[in-house]
Amino acid sequence: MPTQLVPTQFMPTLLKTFEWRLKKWLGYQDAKIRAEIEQSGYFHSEWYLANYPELLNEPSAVKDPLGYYLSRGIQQGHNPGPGFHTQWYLEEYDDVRNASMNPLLHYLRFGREEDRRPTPFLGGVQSMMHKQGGAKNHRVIYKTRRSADLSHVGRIKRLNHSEGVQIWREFSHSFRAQQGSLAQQDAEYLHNRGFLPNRKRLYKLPDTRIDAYISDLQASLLAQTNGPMQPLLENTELQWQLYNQRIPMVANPTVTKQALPTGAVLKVILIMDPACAGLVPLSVVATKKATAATVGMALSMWLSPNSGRTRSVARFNASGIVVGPRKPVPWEKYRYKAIWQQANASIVVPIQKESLYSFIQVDIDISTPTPMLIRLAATPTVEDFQVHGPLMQNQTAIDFMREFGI
Amino acid sequence: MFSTHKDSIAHADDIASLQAWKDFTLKFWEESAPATKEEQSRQLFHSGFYRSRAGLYDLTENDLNAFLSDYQSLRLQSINQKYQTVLSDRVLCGHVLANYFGVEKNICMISKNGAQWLESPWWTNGNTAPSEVHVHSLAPDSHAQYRKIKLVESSDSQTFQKAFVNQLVEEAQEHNEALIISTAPVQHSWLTKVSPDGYHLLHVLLVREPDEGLPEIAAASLTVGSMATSSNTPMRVEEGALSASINPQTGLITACRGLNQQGVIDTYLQHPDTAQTLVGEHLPNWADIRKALLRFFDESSYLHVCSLSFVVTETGVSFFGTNTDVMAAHQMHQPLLEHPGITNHLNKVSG
Repeated sequence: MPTQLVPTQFMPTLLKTFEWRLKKWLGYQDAKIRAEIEQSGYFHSEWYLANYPELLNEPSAVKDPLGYYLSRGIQQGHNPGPGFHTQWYLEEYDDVRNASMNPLLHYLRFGREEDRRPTPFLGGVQSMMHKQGGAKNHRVIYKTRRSADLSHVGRIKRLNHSEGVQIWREFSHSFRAQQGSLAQQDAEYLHNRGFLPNRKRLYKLPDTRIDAYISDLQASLLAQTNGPMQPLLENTELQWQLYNQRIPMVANPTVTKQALPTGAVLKVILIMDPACAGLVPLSVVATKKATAATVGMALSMWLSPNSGRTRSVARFNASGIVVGPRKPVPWEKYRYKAIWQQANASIVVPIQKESLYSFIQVDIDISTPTPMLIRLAATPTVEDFQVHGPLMQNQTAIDFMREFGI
Repeated sequence: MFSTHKDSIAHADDIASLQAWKDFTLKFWEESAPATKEEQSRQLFHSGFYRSRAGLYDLTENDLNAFLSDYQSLRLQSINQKYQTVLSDRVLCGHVLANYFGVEKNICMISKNGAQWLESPWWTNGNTAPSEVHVHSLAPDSHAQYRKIKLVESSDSQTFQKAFVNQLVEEAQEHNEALIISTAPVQHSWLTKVSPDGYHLLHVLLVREPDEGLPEIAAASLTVGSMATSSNTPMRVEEGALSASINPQTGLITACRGLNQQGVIDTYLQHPDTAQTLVGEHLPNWADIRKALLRFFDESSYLHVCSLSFVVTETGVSFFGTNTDVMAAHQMHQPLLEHPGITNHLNKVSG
């Protein structure tokens, strides 16, 4: 009797591997696949190399991370980026495992439409953040599926939740109050997408990227993602009690009867990253209020959250007239770098560590040598950030919106 | 306001009242109560009182309708509305109270997903381990559920500590709960002399007076344990601990009562085990404690009713937990419905 070279139970696996190799060897749709994955945004070269540091010793991987991921990374169970969990996806969906297909491609081509999840983490986040009441705040506004239409128009169509409709009513009223001499066509365009009238000039709308801007309606809805922790963000007295012992904080006016500072303020939006279950800075700006000396124009400098370097500078006033955004001149480039790093270490990091919230804006007073916390807010002052361009552009923001359906 | 408890319960049909009624009925049957007559038990149930209240409030002498019922005390919390979140979360409440009182340092939070160290573990920075830690449950309203864990000298070793934490994580997974490890407060020497068994907690009920909303201490009492009730959880009057009534103005202990072996209320002047005098003594540092309590409540205008428990220490008080189930300790001395602040709040919540 001839001895079997390979035990029968391994035969299907072997055949599949062989099939895979053959397809690869023939250059089967290689270029097409690369383009598809690159466009999807699920592959992050930097993230990939940072998460698998052993690859830094492989010249081919450093030179072409995506190529390495496609040829060898998938077999080793690597994740392409924070938004996709390869191993979990294969374990969760038997048909994908049996289909001998690149799991990320499966997700992009079929899984997305079939309402499959790319990563288990948000489910994990919910139970980890027990303070937010488990899954209670999950998709607080809409009962959506992940594949729901996330454009502004789709969002408003779905808005049937009682709190949501209340917010819509308030928005609609303030739109009407500020409408002024806006043309009918523009008014309809802005109103039906949840933007206030002055956003037309502030964000230079209409724009093809409009769905990446946080609309004013959306800004009020976003506050609701914080679930039962929202009262903490509404009451300044309570915030003072909670933080003044642990974080350098500006004296609370209701407790100490002192006025709030009026100088330069650093504003940071922290958003929950579904892939890492923690708060990450989405955007950082340094702002100065409009004064008579600046001809009524407020200043906003957009900083890089990593380096603190100024990326762009804009001036704008309440009626929506913008100067810029322009590139910073040399002396503006590093103006807030040191203070951002200091504020990040002493204020932002402790707040991040507590993981109480899902979406907050942190205001920090930087008119004194030590940065001091002014307040946390659930509703962001979006115009300070968005005069530089849309906020919801990166993968974290998109995944966040998908998960919460906002 | 309805004239009797029965009426008010019969007319409670909003969701908050029904929720409170559900909580009450669940706890009613949970309680291991002394044998009471069927007729009396039924009356207590329909009026919203636990069975143990028959003995504690001495209903042979007093009228049931003068007392704040247990159902009402559950109902009373909803006057804080969404800010009740702050009181029901031990960690948040600790942060708030740290502005006014001593609060023990939280070391580590344990949930079913693992341990989250709030500060670096004592073995990583070469510190000596604390000799004693407390493990509290993070479930709201379970201030009484805590364990005292003594760490022996040799437990500095990393492996021991890890095993200890891992065991707690397993426990948390099993019961699907969250736990917090914190340092243990040291009780005032006078109270330890009164009775060496466990902590004698100071319970305080804060309310706002009806006219201007100024803060007021509605009731203060000290629960004193005894050998007969000695256990690892804080003493409860239902289980035979003594309750000493404290005058909110002066801190004078005016009376001390407790259930005796026969389940009948008894009055004491001294502690039965150590013969230390209780009635007529002053609670140490009361003037400062009172000032801090009023300042806290004055600056927390978002709260309307607040019931807190403290350990009395050498320098003042140390926060022990929030609670709703200690109304009996206050009412053994005086019915709470006689207090205008409380009746005013109750009228507001029950429409």
